[in-house]
Amino acid sequence: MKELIEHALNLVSKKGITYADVRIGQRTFEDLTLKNQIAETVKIDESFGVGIRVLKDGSWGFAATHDVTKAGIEKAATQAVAVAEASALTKDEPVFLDKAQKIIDTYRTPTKKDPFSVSLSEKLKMMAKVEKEMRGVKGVTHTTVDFGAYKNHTFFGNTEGSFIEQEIIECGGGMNAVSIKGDEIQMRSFPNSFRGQFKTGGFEIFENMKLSENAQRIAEESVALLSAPQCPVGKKTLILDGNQLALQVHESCGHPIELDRVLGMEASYAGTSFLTTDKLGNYQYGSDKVSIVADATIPGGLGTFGYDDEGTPAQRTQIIKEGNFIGYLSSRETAPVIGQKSNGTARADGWSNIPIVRMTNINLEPGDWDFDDLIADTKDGIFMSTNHEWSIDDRRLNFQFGCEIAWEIKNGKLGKIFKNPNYQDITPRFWGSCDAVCNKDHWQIWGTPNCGKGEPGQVAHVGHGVAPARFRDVEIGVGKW
Amino acid sequence: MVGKEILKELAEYAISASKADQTEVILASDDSNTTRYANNKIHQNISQNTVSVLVRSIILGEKGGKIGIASGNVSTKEGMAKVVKNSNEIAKNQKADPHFVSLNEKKDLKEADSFDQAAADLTVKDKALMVKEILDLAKKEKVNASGIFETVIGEVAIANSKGVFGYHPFSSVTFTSIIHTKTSSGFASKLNWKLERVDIKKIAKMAIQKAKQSQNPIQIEPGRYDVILEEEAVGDLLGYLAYMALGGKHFQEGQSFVAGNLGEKLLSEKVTIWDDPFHPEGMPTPFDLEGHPKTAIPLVERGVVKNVVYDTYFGKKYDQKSTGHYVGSLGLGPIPLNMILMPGKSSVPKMIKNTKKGILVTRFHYTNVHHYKKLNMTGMTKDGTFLIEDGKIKAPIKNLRFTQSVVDALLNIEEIGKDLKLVDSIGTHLVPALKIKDFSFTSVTEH
Repeated sequence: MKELIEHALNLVSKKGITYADVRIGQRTFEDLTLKNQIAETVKIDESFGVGIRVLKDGSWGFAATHDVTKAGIEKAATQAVAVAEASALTKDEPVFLDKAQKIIDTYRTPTKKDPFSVSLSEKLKMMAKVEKEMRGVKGVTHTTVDFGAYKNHTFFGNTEGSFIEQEIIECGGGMNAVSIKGDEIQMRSFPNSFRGQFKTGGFEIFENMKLSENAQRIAEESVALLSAPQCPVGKKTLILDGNQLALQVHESCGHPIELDRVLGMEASYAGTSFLTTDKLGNYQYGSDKVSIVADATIPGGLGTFGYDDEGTPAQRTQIIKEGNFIGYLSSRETAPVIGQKSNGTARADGWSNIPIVRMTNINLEPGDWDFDDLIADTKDGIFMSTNHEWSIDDRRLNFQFGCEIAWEIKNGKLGKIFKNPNYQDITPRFWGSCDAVCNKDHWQIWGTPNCGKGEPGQVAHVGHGVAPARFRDVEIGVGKW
Repeated sequence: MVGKEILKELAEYAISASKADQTEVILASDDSNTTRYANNKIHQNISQNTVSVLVRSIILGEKGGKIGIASGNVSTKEGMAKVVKNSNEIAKNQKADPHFVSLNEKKDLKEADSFDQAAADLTVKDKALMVKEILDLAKKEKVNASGIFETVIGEVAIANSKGVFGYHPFSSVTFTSIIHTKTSSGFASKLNWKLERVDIKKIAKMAIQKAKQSQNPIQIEPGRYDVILEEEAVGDLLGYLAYMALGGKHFQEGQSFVAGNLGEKLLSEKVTIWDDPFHPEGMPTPFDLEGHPKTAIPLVERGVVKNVVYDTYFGKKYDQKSTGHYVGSLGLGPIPLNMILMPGKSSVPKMIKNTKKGILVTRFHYTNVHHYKKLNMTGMTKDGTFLIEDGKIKAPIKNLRFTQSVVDALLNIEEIGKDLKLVDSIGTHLVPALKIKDFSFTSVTEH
């Protein structure tokens, strides 16, 4: 692979470029879904190709091809330069990259058990056992168990002499029970919705998920929700479970801190950001209970790696410190605009896409509270768990989230369940109302393997470490049901 | 482009190499370029040359069919052999699916013209020069332009061991324009397979006008309003209707509002929806991804939901005929991807004139579904939202969040526009503007 990368770099270097990088990638994805006792999806996908990115005349060009031969690379290299020359017809300020270290290194996700070495029949057997346990609950309509494993093996080289080989392995899955009666449809998922929980690591992640231990409960809750009362309406104290809070952090913090968004580079699709550069260092994003970091080094996160897709080492950056906004996610192109160096968050969805600023693991730092004490301390509130749907405006201010289930909190105790719970707020007001975060005993890292951004569209796998937290006076129960 | 003969040869090779009882191969290739601009310059420019192959192998037995699926991005016989082997291996170790009867049988396939040589001949330099004109216009108007000019030149071939073979080349041209001023934004776009139908200057001018009209928005209280949805907003909602309600899988599994109610009047009698894959203003598509011929099919007629769509697997499972709607995944189920909501006689200016108090919406942003059966949805307005009073646009307004059942919205239609726009939203659908009464906006944002 090194020889092919060097061949590409040599070719483009003769064409007047000021910088180039090349990524050859091999990706494998195993996707299993067992639904109502049928193995509905049993699929392996493999992808192999090369992407060449060049900077010429102050503008970017990129070409990717599946044809990883010398001839294919020559064609792509020529195309990448032609694309840059075309882009340069409209340039005003040239693209400027910050200085980077030359890196020669390898990185591999630590795993105990390679998920691809476990036989299909063993995986299906485990999944079938869990599905059967859910199916045994009277009243449940559809039961699904999902499994996924990813392997992303990339070779990176650039005109600054870096050469990095990385192999990122991810694994995960989950279960879902759907109950339908008349016009009502309710669902419960564990450990998370939308196919489950994913982390970097091996098959041990799926094995240790405690699916069997929770199968009956999840199915029973989906049935119980059919006849549960509708979530009440009004301003309430809200406690969010970790699996929902992870997505809250993702949408209302992770995205607005992407510096390319802030600089207008995503305006045509994902939007911009309310965290404009004038706010850096002097804006109260949340209460003093809220501290958030971006950390690509933490073990097990979906956003954990050795180097980003520009060869910048994985690192940890404070984003919010006791409510004060102090950091962005940046790349080699965006960081210099605010006088900084890249903090290693340029990531590409495979060899056929360009790296753009992406979340790594965006984590809400743990607080002091034990979860039971937090409930006991809440006189009147709602506890919501497991995301059902999400929506947020293009500057990341007005959001609305729905969850699968909620519990009433009355005089410090969890009470009856509610169906169709949702809540709406404006980002800084919401985070400003946070008055308690649970401690590290309740903190875990959640995986979001479906983050969309960019044109052409890219999907990133990112992580969020959170513990349950409490928010005051949040608008609950939105809409006519 | 790889070409019909090579794809046919590769497909035949894959089928002959397979050790399964039945084998299906989907081959696709595309050359695409996304010329992306922001802050009045081309800031990202991406060319991709990809191929893909998806092999479905089935081992038949007493208990049903064991289905193995493998995919890759290969264009050589050696590469194909590996994908086929993976697929066979998975099938061998799979559980039997009692509902699987057979892959699609061979049928006569029509051709459809949706390949434009002019789009294929466009170079990256041509596109950059065209975009430069737009950027020069934006600078002259003192606005900030962003958007994409995307071309996809592709082909798909489907073959199976029952003798099916279909080949279809296509092109797709998309131009979007999002214009920002200090206090507002405006949007316009066009999608078509024919380059000459995408007038990028006209689109950019529409977006600029929208952005300028939206400057200095006022804030209004959320609540229930009569609403005029331009085509892009209608398309957004209709895409969810297609996926969550009008596919045979969701219908039979009880997750669609149509479940148990097929043949009943569930929407306004003003609503007629067909799935028409050959409509000249759409993206003509002759067959689905298992090589079953596509035909025009009435889904809703004057508010009565008459049909949902099926593919071979779900057709056999539920004793229905395939309507040619296999999308390449049993998980997603069959989906109508070429709908047309029949136009009416009105127009957006006429709807405004007929509105005492209401809101004009250019498009929605970040829509999502809260209740699958009721199709309760939420999302934000974006890029041009206006208050209408006494038949005129009174003022631009800050964006609102809606929380609304799509089914209820389609029961409350007052007027339907006469012009159709092709919108990309879980399929590519031809939709008119709609005036809907009593639409629920539940909160407001700061811009």
